[in-house]
Amino acid sequence: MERIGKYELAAMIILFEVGSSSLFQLGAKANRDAWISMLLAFAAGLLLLGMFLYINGQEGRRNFADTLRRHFGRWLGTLVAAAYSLYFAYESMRNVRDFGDLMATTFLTNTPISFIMLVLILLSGYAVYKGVEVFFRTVGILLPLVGFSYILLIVLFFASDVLRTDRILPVLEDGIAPVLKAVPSIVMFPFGQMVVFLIFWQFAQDKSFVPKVSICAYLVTGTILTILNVCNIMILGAPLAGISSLPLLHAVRMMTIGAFMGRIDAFVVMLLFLALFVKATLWYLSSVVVLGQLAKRTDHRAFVAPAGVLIYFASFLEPNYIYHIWIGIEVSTLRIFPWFQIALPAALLLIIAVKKRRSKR
Amino acid sequence: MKRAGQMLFALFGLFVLGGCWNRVELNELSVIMGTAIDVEDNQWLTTFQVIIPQAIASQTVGGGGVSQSPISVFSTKGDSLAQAIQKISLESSRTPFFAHNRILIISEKAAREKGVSQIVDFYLRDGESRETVDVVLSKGPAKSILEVLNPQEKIPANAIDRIFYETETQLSFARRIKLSEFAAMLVTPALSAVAPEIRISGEREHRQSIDELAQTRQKAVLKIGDIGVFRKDKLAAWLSRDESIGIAWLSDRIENSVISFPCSDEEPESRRSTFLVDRSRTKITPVITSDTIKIKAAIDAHGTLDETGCNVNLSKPESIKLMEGQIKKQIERDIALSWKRAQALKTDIFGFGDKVHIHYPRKWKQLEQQWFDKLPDIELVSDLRVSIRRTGMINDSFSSKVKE
Repeated sequence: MERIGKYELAAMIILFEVGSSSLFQLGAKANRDAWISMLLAFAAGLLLLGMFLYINGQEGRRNFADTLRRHFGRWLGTLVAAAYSLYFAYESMRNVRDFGDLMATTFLTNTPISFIMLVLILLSGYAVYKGVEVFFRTVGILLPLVGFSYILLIVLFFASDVLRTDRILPVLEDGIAPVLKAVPSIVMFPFGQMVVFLIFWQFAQDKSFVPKVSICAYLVTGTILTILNVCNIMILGAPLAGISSLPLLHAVRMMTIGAFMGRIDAFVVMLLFLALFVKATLWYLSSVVVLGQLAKRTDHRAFVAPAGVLIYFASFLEPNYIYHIWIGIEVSTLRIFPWFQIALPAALLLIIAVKKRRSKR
Repeated sequence: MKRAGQMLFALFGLFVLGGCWNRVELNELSVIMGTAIDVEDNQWLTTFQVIIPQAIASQTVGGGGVSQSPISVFSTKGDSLAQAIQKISLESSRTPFFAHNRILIISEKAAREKGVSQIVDFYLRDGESRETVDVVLSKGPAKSILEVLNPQEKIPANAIDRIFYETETQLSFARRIKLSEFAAMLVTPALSAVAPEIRISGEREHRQSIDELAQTRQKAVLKIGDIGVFRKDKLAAWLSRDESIGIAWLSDRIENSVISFPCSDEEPESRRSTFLVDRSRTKITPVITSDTIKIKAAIDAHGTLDETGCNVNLSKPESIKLMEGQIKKQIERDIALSWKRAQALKTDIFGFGDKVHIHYPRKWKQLEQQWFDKLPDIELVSDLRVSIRRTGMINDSFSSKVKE
């Protein structure tokens, strides 16, 4: 049986959550108050995390597909688990496409995107083939590198005089309404994506450390993301941060320290690549693991290739990056994600709670 | 069989991961250091200053002889900027490389007629050029600026960047405007963007010759000129050097500056002293009552006395007080000059609108639309505190000793 340690779990949560979120200006609709929306969504996400952790706590070592089957009944449970697997594959495909387009706009402008994505999916497929334990340990190795880089980046932002505090003033100019409007989509992306750990918590070496480690790691990511969000606005100003397709990259490019340190954007692109790889792979892995659980096989490896092919070809469905982003923001985040991140877990929680009450009586 | 498959896969990886699809050979690039944008016959005319690597290398070794120009300049024309730039390949043997582009010179004609939005859009969208490029204006054709050689730097575009840096830190009346900042100014609704002008002073026909570098005094040099003020994205007016020092005072951009001031109100103008500002802080507070808008500017400057032609006894504290009073008056005059001009132009180059926005977010909603029209009615109240901290290596004025 594969097992995950404390540190590996924390590392995965941090890399996964920071992941592709630093690509976008989250809460751009709230303009210069985006960071407030961010904090509110962060708090709401904490509630969701509590819900996921509660469900996990009740189920011991039972795997996710079995949990669903047990509470939703055999047929409905299987259907829901299959839907989750598909949802995870979709999320993975989104990250693969993000990766492809990021590469194509920054570094490899002449390389066909199909090739870039092929390399990524092969690499991800290899990690998924190796299984949960190996992938979590890989991320454990990557975390110091990525963590150090992000901290360095934030320090450099403060060291070079690009931060202008007056760019986030006045706070709440148009009242709280626009800020609240931006919250739901941030809850779904990235905070609600913690739902993926419903699959992986059962692999923890000792289940007692799961809640504490998960919440701590979640707090760390929320802080990093909020700081980066504020930095983006203070460097670019809300209008530019809003129109930029890669705000963090733009912000970094504005920075020069002295006359010699500039152009560290290559370094940031590398950071984004790493984060996207981790994210795409974890979604891919979770999709495959759920399929394995549905088939009642301990070995999920048979599903690596079919899922990989599906993800790879699905990533070509969208005609362009604009459409990809549009569908992500307008359709997926608000119409599809809530089902998997809120509605289904809430239904599960309700059933578990009712059953528990009955059995007590 | 399995082994062979693995080998094949590894080999495949080698080919793919080398990234040869996007390979860029250093000796096939032409490194562009400066770009100039003009408008001619309603078309974009782009001009590039390109490094000649061999020329630079030989000069470092030889040191003495000037034989080949370190740079080469050429121009291309097109209906859009990107098209004009692509046309480089018609005459250049190398691929243009923009990542080291230091300055972007926009001609007055382009800035007035076409506006700068499209240029900014192009620079923000393009992945290769940096947002830290300096935005500079020119009154004449922008392309000719790139043709002037500088004796102190091998690469003229670097020289321009350095000239701005020196002006910014030593005089403060003009400063480098990076494209990123320029873009931020343009999108702030109540702020009028500014950009400095660079000009060729001297005899223009001599500017291109490499033989020029053999002389001790150049016949043509580059010099920072006026400050261009924008209305929306179009150049609207120029502020002269005298009018522009006030911008630095009112927008808290004074790093170092020299202020020359008269000895006293009675003495002849010819006798002046100089105050070197070491540090200065400006705090702008808008005060809005029911019918008036006041802008309070609290300036706190201190520094050193740099020279004096006045007949004063500097060992007495009261004479220092007197001098401080004169400095204050001089700064007030400078500020008033800029402010009057800005009011007349109905442009907000100091960012006062932003301050009102921050301090009075509610009232701003009503003011926003007519902010520029309101400017002439706004009263500027300055509150200056100037202190002479030191008087340098001597106390009493030398002039006073000569007279005794």
